[in-house]
Amino acid sequence: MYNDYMKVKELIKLQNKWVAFSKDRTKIINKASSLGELLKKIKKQDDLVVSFIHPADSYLSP
Amino acid sequence: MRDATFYYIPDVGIDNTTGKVVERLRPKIPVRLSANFNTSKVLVDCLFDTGSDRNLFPADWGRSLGLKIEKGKKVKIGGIGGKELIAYTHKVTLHIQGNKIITEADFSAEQNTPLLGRIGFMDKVTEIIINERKRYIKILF
Repeated sequence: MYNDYMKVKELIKLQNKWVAFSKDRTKIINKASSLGELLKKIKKQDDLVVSFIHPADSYLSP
Repeated sequence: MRDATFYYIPDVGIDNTTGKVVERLRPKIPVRLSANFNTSKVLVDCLFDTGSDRNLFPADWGRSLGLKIEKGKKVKIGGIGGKELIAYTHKVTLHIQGNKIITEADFSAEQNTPLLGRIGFMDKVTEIIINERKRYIKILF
C-alpha cells in the first residue's frame, strides 16, 4: 500500500520536477528539472525509483 | 501464470472547491527499461494509460541507454487536445517486477510523462484488472 509514501506537504515542493526516491518512496535521493539531468546525477546509484511530480494546479489528461 | 499488483502512487493536486493541497492518486507502474544492450539502473514510474494507443517515453530515457533517438522510425502522435508531437520508434524490453515484455516504444523530446499504452504493453499481457475504488491495477503476465 501507499500509506508510507512521501506525503503531499513534501510532494508539493517537488511539482514539475523529476525526483529519485528510495525504493520504498519515503526518502528523496535527488531531483532535477529533466529526466536526462536526473539520470546523470544518480549514475552510481541502484535500486531507486524515479517519478515525475505533476503540477498540482492541473488535472492530467495525456 | 504470474501476476503483479500495483497500488496507485500519490501525486499532488489542488482541490477546486477548497483550494487545499490534496493527494491525487494515479495509476503508475515502475518500469526498468532495456534497449541497445543496456538496462536502466533505476525504475521509472510510467502512467498506465488506456487512452494511449502506444507506449510513449521521454527521449532522455532512451538516450540514457545509448539510443540514437532520431535514428528510429519517425511517427506522429496526436493528443486529445489536437496537439501533435513527433516521436521515434525503437525496440525495447520492459522489466516489470521480474517479467520481461519485448516490445516497441516511441520516444519524444516533447514528452515528459512516460505512458504505457494499449499496443506494445496492454496487448502483451494476459489480463489487466483495474480496481478504481481500491486504487490498484493487477496484471497477469
